[in-house]
Amino acid sequence: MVDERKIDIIRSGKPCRVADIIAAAIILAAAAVVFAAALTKKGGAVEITHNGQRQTYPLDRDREIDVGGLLTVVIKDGAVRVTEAACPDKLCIHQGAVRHAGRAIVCAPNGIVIRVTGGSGGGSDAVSG
Amino acid sequence: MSRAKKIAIPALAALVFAAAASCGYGRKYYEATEIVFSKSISVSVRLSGPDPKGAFSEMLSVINGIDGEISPANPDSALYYLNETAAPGERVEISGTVYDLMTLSVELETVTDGAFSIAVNNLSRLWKLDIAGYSAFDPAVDGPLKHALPTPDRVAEAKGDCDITALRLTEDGGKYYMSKTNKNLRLDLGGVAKGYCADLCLGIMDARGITSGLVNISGNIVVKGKKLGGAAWDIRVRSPRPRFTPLRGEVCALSSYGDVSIVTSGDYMRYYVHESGITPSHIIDPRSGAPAGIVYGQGGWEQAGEYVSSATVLAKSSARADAYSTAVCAMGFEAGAKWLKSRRESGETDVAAIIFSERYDGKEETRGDMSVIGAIELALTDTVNEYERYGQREW
Repeated sequence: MVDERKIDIIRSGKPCRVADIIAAAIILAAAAVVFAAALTKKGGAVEITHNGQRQTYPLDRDREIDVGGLLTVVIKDGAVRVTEAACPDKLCIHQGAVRHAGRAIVCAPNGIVIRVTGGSGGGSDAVSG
Repeated sequence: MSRAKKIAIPALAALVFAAAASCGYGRKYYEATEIVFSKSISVSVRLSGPDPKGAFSEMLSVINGIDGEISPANPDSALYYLNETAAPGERVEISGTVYDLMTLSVELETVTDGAFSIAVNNLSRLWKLDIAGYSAFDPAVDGPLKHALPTPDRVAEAKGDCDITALRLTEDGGKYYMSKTNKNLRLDLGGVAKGYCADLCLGIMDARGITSGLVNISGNIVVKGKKLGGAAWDIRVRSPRPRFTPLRGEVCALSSYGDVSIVTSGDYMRYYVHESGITPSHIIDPRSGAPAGIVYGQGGWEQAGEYVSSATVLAKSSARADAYSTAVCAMGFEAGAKWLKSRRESGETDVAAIIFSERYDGKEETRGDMSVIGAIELALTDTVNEYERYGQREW
């Protein structure tokens, strides 16, 4: 049987207070999660692409990576650089260390791209030279 | 639920999501990097607009097409055939695009008073400063090289084969051709090709309605419009020194609104150290036949007293910026700065530059000066090695 009191409340348009509060709380909680996700500084990552394959490493853990026996890539103190290269002109070594999202080191003769992604911005858009 | 609540709650949610979106969550660039030009250069893009992936695809297709025609190392390219095989007078067919590029290159040699030329390859080889030559030297491992440097007579002879007037560009019935009158002429478009391709990329962005973007072809940069959010592009200039270690940082930061191109040439990536005391780099001065900054003195080839270590040129046309930065390195510090100023005065008011010089006293290199030409918003940065600030020379 339908509860007449409930029907009266619905007809009158008075707020169902508890339900409203719960709905508002859910929406605000969802919004807070969205905000938090957008603003949280995730750790930066290093993406190394070679032969169509991509490996990703966190920027905040020091390590040495051998890329296909062609390059030695070192991640240290939040930056990545190439320390050894089996390529004719070693320009990838001369590009130095990068740490900001969007920056990349390229070893063109070996077809290897090392790119920093995610994390805090604040770096430059590009380096000429 | 009351009507007020029915409106308020979705409105609140919408407001919150809009706020989150405007924080950058969801507003992004398409970013990608590919290696092109027979695996010798990279193209990186950040594009914001309709179908950025399609735009990048088109850019790569255009760039690879040009490379297919002008790569001097690729035995199937038209330029390889012209350089190595074609007989004097034999016509080699090229596309309209490459015809444009070569016509522009010839024009740029005149504009730069001969300091930029696409015909210096014979001299590069003579000095072992072609790709094979400088790549054989690894500063981390090799001591100074000991090969015999060319005599002034040999330089003069090679210079005779570096005359751009031996190149003929013709159009016939809608087709385009190049040929040479001197069998020994050898061309290399490395000093202008990246800039020319960057200009074509800018055109592709225009045609496709991409209003904010950056294209970086191995350090040859073009930027379009403003960044998302309205800020100017933050472009850095790599420090030319120290030269023998990879730990250089950035020596200055430029703040640039598009459309503009930024190109740097310098002596710090492709060079070798010679036991005679000179450190020649890959930029040849076509007028002397010697590498930039190398002069013939009483004791033989010597490092000049002052020379350009790095020249960054800004201009609306990337091909022009590319050729001009090379030309300034060849001209030297004083002459290069004066020449750029004269370019501005003859109407090229979009041209601006930052030039770094170095001095050599016979024993060691010391930091020289920095010259800024034209109005650029610029800030010196600290490099990785806490590099001492340059003195500034005004022009």
